[in-house]
Amino acid sequence: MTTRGHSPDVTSPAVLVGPHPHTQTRPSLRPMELPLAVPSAEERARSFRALYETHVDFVWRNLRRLGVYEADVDDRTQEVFVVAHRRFDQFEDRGHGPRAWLFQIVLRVASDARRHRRRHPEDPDGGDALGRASVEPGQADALLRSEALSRLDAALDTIEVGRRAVLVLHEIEEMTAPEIAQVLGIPLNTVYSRLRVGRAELETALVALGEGEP
Amino acid sequence: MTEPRLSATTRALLHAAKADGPGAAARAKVWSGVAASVGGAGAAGAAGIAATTGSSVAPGASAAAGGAAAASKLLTIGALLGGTITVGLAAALIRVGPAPSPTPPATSVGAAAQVVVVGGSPSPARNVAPPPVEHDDPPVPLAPPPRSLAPAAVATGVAPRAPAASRPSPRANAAPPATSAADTFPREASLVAEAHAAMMRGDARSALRSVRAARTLPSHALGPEELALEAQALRALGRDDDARDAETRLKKQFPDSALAR
Repeated sequence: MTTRGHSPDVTSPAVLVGPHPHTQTRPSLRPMELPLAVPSAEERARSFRALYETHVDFVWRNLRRLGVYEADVDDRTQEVFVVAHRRFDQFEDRGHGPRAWLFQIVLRVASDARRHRRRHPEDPDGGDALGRASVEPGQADALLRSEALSRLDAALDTIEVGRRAVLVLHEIEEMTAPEIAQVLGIPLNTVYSRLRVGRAELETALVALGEGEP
Repeated sequence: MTEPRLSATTRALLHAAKADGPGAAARAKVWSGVAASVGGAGAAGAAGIAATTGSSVAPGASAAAGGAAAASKLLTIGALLGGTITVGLAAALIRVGPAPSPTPPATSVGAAAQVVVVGGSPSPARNVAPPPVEHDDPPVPLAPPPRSLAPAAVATGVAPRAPAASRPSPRANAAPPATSAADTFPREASLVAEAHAAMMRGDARSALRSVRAARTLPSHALGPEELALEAQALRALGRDDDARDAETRLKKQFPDSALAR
């Protein structure tokens, strides 16, 4: 694992875990404070565990928003972290922390999952009914929330995946346009145009599903 | 990025999505699947960790091919061949971590296992004795090691019945004092898997033995899972006070773990 521009100990847990979700603060690494010792294997294992604990929600919800069915999302989350583990030593922090890197893996895994579902349709509602059935009677709020999110996902499913990724990263993950441009490797103006069109498409789709405001 | 504005309803939906994520059981289940896939533990290990949180077995984890299982298989083959596979096989059988690189990998613990058949002299770094293991009962070997394999050299196969120091040999005397966490992580994952399998068949005593053996290893990557399994086994044995102690330690040592919630 290497970094550009400075040579901090990027395997330290604080760097691997990265900024807290929904905050845009970047890790401030001052070389004078960095430990000189190479982290042990156990420290690295703990770092990966910390990476998982910190970002599993991010990975899981973005797989859902990118069209992975409820019934598949746990397996696909596992797949993302297995890939992340395999590529851990190749991770380059380009200033956006692990979320940007993980999202690129999420995009590929979600694409595979959608392709697999198209070829092997098994559960027409993607297992949502099963998921809802597992909600206990006292969890009515959770059930309503789950159904609302299912409608959001249904609306997002109508949007082309490139625009959907921009929309999700900005509106849900609160990334800035320049960050999204970096994560997706697209020009800044493309981010803005995709976001503009994506928002309009989301509103239209939600209205069609009876969720939005006409 | 402010135009066009989203409606209040849409904004509320998107806001709700910000808090979306897997439940505690799902988090633990997925992690156990990841650990099983990258650490060489078998599917039973994933199931064991999932069971401690009351969740079902991760379907994806069941597909994970365990490096430790491959190791045990080859060790058995080695025994059948009458020792043609030498100590070096066990040392090189499970190579934890990616291919050699100038800098150590970010997480060599639990990296994909690579089967490398190497004869000849053992690697000094791996041909070492694990720390003495305190058991309630002697551990049950996974597979009989070949005669030519010193117990201490089997990184993932068999826990020694006694510290290597009690079996004097020139190599044991020359061995470094401790095995690294990277070397013992597959063994740790394997023991956690054994513990779960024992719990599944109602053998809480064996489960306790396995999980305590795991906790003596340098690697503690599965610490929360081990403590959760220990509590489960102790409770099954009727040792409620000890079970509560284990649960307290789990909450104190790993407060952020899903298993502690």
